[in-house]
Amino acid sequence: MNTLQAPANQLDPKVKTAWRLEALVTLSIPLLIAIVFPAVASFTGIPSWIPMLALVVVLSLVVVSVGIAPNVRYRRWRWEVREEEIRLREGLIIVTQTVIPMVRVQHVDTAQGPIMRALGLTDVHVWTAASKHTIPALTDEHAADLRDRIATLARVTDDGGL
Amino acid sequence: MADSELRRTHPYTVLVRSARSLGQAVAGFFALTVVSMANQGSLAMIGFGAFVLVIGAITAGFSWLSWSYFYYGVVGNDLIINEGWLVKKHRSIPLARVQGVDIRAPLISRLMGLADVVVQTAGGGGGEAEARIGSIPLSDAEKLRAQLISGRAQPASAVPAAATTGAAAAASTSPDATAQAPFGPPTTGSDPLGHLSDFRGVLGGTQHADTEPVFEHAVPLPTLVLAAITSNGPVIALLATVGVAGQGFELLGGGSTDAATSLASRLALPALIAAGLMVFLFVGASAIVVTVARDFGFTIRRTGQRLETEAGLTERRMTSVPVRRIQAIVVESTPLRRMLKLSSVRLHTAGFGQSDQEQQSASSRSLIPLARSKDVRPLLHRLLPEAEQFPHSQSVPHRALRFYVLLPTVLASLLTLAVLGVPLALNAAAQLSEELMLATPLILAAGIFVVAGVVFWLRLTMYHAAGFGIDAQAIAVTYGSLGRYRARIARSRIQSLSIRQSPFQRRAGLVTLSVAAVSGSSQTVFRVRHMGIAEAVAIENWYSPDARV
Repeated sequence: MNTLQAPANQLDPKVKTAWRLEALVTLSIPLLIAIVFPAVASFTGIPSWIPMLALVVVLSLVVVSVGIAPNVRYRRWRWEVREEEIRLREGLIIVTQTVIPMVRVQHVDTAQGPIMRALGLTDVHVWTAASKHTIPALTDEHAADLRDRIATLARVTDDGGL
Repeated sequence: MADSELRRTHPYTVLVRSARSLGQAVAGFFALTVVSMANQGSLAMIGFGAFVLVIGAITAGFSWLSWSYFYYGVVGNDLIINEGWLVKKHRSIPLARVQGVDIRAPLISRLMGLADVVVQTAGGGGGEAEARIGSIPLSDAEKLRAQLISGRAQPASAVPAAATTGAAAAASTSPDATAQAPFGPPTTGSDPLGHLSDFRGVLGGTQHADTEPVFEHAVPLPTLVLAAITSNGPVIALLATVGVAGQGFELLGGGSTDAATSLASRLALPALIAAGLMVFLFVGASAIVVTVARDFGFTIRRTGQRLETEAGLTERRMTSVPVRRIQAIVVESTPLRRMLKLSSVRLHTAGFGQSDQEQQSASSRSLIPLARSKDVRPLLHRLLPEAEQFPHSQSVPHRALRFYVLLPTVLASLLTLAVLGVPLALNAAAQLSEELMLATPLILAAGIFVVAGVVFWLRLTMYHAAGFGIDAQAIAVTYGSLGRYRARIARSRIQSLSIRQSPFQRRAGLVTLSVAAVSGSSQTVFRVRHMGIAEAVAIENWYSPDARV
């Protein structure tokens, strides 16, 4: 077997909207600067190609992170909660596949930012002793169900952890 | 809980505590006094004396207050600590939650035959993760320690987190041997205060299955000195000195042909070299002294399911690590050690709260400071037979070579081009120095050649060092460039396993494997870069509980 088995489930399609909005919020300040910059530049005598270049760079960043990246990320993202393990696959260019055995799960929680709340989506965080893993953007009920399910599975198979 | 069961620490605690804080205050004030003494003479002496007296009285008063309000004791299944004269604090730590018990004896305490007991509890890196009881007589410290350790073994069946590991666990194959240890204060050993520098007199006397040393390994001083010299510390100091000196040379030799500057630089050169050498010797020597003082008299013992280390010149520390808390074991050969066929072994252990004093040992601790490489296996066999066997390691495929070498070399060349090229281009544009302009192609070519050569060579050694292997219990990851590092992580200690693949790697059928383990209260990741995908999938299946069933 020479290929990685992809986990079964995709995220909720609404996550693309959430990612787009998040990218817009992150880029809003650079965008604002890039728009105001030409006006400032014309007063201070900076050659006009510099603000134009900045605007092009920022705009292309917006196009990539709002227009293209969410689609690709969504297509890549896969997750699966099995009896004894959680599998995640994510990544835009570099794809990462992770296996987290249930016995290593320390606790599970759900989290929701303002954008996610508006869309009715919730992230599920799975904590091991080493780090945090996230299954993003599930519908609220689904996330709560999944959280409880992982918590139950993690407890049932507890072999002592550390 | 009756207060009568609680005890005070030794009254000398007041002396020890106030001496410690007074020492710090006086040291700070001394510098100021020396300066003023140069101006005012005896007046400053009197002022200094008065200061010492006042501060001494205040610290002694506060130390006495906090001592007189400090009570501790084991009541039932809890360690109780009551403290605080302004803000009262009552702590009750279930013995089952005790993760580790250290004994620390700073110099002043040791002179009085006292020691502190430091209790580590579950609960991450916060300050509350640690309770310090002290100072108490050494024999009491040993008794308390034995009590805390045996106490936490007793309710093991009731506490799932403290008991056995899974069926697949590599370490601690048998159930915790401490389970049959009797609860209660063990009989004291002979002559507790006779051993100022060694806890063993007390420890050996206890009739405790868990504290009976099975194997002991003491590291002699010359070996510790050699360990400090061959560690990476002095090498880093050397590189730093070379870097600083290089900057100095550049500053002096910066293309100026002015006769006076040239003369000055010629005079300054030997002085600069001497200064650099002095700085290096000083930095290197102090790094070595600090390391040797910390590890002085390093002794490690295997007692039942615990590893106990003891070390320190001024402050003597005894730490015990339950074997099942060991997350990863790394056999290290720094470049110097590799040349001398020497190795050291470090452990990554889990969950100990990071205290400010013990930062260096919080996440990874020394198991064997230094030994001949061929002696490592026999030593491990005696100290940690659970981790003695490293899985047989295989190297990454030949097609990974270009991934290791090509991109970093190209990037380094481009970076060199930018770093050297920009000033040279500016020089050419401004026509500052004709010689420099003429030499530009030569400088660029030589710079890129050297940098690319070094990077190429280092990455080539990394390619040769990289390896991995699995057996029934554990994974081995080998890495390094000039040095060699071999890590062994038991399968049951791997927190998560990731396989990463870039588009380039996909075309070549390669992936990067990341193995996450716990170190202290955070994570440490061991990586195998650019291994074949078939092997990575095999390791994933080996790790995946669902694929195994």
